[in-house]
Amino acid sequence: MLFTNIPGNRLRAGRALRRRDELLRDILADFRRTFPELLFELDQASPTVNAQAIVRIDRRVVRIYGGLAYHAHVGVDGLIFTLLHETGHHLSSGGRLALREDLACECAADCWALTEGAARLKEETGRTFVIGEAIRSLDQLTQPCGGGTKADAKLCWSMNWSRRKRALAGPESARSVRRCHLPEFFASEVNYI
Amino acid sequence: MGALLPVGSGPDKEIVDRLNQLFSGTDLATLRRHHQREKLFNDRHRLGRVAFRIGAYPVQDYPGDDAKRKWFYFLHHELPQATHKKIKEILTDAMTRTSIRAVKFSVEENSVANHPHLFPSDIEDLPKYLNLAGNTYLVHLVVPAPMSDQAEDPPTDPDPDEQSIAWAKLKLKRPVFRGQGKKKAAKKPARKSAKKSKRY
Repeated sequence: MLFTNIPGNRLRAGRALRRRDELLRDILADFRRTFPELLFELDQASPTVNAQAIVRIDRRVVRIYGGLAYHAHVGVDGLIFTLLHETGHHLSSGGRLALREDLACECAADCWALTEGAARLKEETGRTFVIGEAIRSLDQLTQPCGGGTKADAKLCWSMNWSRRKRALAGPESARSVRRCHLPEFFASEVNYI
Repeated sequence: MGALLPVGSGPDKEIVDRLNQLFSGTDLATLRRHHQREKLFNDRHRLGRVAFRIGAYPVQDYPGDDAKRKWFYFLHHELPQATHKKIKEILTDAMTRTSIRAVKFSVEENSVANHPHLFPSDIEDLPKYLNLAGNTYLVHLVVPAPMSDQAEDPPTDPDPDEQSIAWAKLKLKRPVFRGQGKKKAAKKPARKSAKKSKRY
């Protein structure tokens, strides 16, 4: 949130913007109904192309930022997958982030989004999404980031966008780890003075 | 903090993970021991200088983003004094109260905020920053927008009374291969049975 941001291609005005407003209102209403234990927030004014799962003392929150919510290349499937992924950080019982054990790690959040999360959303609201479409739209955002390094990718498929795309397209072959040690790995590279 | 993009890691995630590691487990124990000799978070110490000394900054390369120097600019110029003061207060308490298991850091962008501040505000009593179990401080920073590209070098001039921090040394463990343990276990019963056969 402080650092690098992906350049956004934001819907500015007109019918497309009005339709996106309505779409976001409907999607967020469905998520609030399906997962009432979480708080879903849209930061319309933010230019940040991202979404986030956070814990505010006693409240679990999913925030989607304006740069992503109003991105011209992100359609309904991309938005639903994004929100399910963030919800998965809170509700997945799978692998934990080593340094933040109250949140599920990236691969566990992805697996939960595609299985339990998608099923609960469909059962409660009838809303579904096409993962192929979600990948296609997010693909256009993730390319500028470049993804993780080769070393990161060896540790977990979620660290490399190419591998992550394949895993999302065929989730049955994607294993979720029990405890994600990636943060410890990165932190260990720091040199003390 | 879990975020969808960038895939894998970003400077935000790196600095948050680094801080979370430093203020938990063995690193927290090290800082607590050091705190008995040098009060790292008193008024005479600058947060930026302490961050530099303990390695609380991003070290990876991010194309187009001078993350390390931006982080030090943020600590020096953009973090308000009230937030500085409250963070130091929280960290000082964490240095002395052993019932605190860890300090967990996170950051949230909120365009409604006018300036960076802690959640819910910078003027709460310390217990308000504890988790529900009361054993972990949650330092949740709210920032109004991503940082500008302004950056500066970390402060290299020492604070008063600085002393070097004695970090725990790395211990290398001898790897145990899959076959090794089983072979030994298999040999033992054979010896026992041999002894038994002698007795009878």
